[in-house]
Amino acid sequence: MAGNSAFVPINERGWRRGLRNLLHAGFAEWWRTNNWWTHALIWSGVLGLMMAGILFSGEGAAGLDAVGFVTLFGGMFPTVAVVIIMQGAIVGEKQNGAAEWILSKPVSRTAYILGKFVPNAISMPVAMLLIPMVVAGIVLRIAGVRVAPVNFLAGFAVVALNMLFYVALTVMLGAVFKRRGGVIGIPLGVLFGQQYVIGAVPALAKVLPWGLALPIQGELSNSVAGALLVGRAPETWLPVISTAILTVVFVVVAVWRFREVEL
Amino acid sequence: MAVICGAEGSREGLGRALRSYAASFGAILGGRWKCLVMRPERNVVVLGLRERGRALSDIVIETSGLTKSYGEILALDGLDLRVPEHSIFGFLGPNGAGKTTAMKLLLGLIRPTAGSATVFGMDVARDSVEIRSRVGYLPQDPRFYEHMTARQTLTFTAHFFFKGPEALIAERVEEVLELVGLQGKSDRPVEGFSGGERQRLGIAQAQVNYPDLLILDEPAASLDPLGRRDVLDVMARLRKHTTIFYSTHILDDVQRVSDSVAILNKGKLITSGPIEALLAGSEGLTYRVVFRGDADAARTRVAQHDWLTSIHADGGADGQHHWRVAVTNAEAAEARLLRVLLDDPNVVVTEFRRQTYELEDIFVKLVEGVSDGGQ
Repeated sequence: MAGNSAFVPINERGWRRGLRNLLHAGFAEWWRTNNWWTHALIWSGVLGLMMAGILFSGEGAAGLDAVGFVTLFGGMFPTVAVVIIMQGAIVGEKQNGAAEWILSKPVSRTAYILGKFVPNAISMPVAMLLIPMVVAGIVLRIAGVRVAPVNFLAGFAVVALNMLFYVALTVMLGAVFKRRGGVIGIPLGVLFGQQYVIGAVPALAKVLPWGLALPIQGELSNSVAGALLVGRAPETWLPVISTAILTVVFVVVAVWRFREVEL
Repeated sequence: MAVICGAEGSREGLGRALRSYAASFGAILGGRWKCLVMRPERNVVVLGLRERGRALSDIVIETSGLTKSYGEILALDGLDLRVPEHSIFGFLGPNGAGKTTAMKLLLGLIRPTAGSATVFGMDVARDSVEIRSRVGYLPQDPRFYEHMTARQTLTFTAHFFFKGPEALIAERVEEVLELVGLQGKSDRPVEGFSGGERQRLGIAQAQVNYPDLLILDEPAASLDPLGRRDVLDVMARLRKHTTIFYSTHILDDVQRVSDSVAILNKGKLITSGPIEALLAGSEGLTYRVVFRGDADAARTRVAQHDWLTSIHADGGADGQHHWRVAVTNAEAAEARLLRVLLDDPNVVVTEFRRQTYELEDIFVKLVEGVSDGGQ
């Protein structure tokens, strides 16, 4: 290079090449724009108002029964938003040419995928789940329901794992597909279709992510996260294990497939 | 990079054994090859062999039978190309000729179906990331992260190449913003940029890392005439630092700044070489002479000289003789041809000039010739 001897060159090599810069940009897109507080505000409002409605209306649930609603709403609504936001992350960039621009720089394909997954996998649960759950916790407290901090964090971690599953699934589909249809349709199909699959084959309830935040049967707090929030041991940990494994598999498949993608 | 020449001796003071190794390789491969080129920073001892008369390092891009097909569609068909260092190499062709495909292959954005290509002597399929660390690329329709400002886009781009110092990176960003005339818009988000402004930003980001090779896909597209002029000026200024490989449809620009061109049609290379040679036409070194007087006597006088190749007489409806005189030696022809004609006092020369063509004429002729099935 001409004229660049005073600069300190990047010394990342192999799959890490470009990762640091992409992670920095990915986190900045969440935390140095109005992205984080917009989402935090929307989902805090949704969750907080719903909890208030449930707790303070005459016919609503009371006490610890209301806690199950936190995981129900937290596991369902922000997850739909995650799919909608993430569907453009890779396919959108493949279609509009931004991916071609980034990958014309010294950036590995693995770094590109991780640069999409990691900032969203951390920022989305914090902005769209942790902050709204804290607000919901405050509403519960006002209503006289106490959730121990450890139980709260354990419940949050499980609902966040449910969210990570959809982030990873959407990243993988974005790496595989050329159009947005499949990238948005399949995760939403998985999200809403699981209840019917479980209805047909009840044994699958123990491996699908549905049981993490949403009740398989009976009370709302029967989900893994619901049980943890009220301080009970969940019936099974299998959905946690299988969802964690599937999340890792999706990221690995995304990295592997994206190496072959032509831009 | 170290160059070890068997017959010429070592330029880098490397050992006799290596020189002997180079000489042996040269002997095996024939007289064209005599030097080994080594790249210690990549932990590769023998990268390649230098061709006699032209160092391997002088060739920045080299493709051999480079082919890309999408199903049954052949986008690029056996491209053989050599782009010399510090050249401004115009890559021409009608829409769909395969220019963008070739550029994407060089950057490793797509994989070749057949053939091979090297940039800086490195294989485009194997060493793509390493190649891209020395290249600046402007895509045909540049797209960036919409939420970033122009300054943030350039800083982000620079951080793919440099860790710091931040002050120098900021200085460099300011420099390229000024170069493309975007200082006043540097803190506006890219989403509000017009096509021309995006193009300028694209040119800026391609240069931010001081690349050894600039690959520009339609750099003057979307620009107004002033913007086009600025881009050509920038390209001309960068020539001494950088090799520029660019595609365009604007043939006037090519004629203004390029020193070499390649013309592609339907994925095939039609012609490639220095622009002067192309503009001189296929007849070689030719002079156009228009005169009045005895043409037969003049032909006899000119034919006596050994630098003459042929005389082709066209028309003459205006009472004048129109000759195209093909010669082997420009200096001799320019010194003698006119004098020989004017030996006869009755001859009046009304026009004498070296025959050149407009690039557009040549382009149309070559492209249409191939499309019609001729060559």
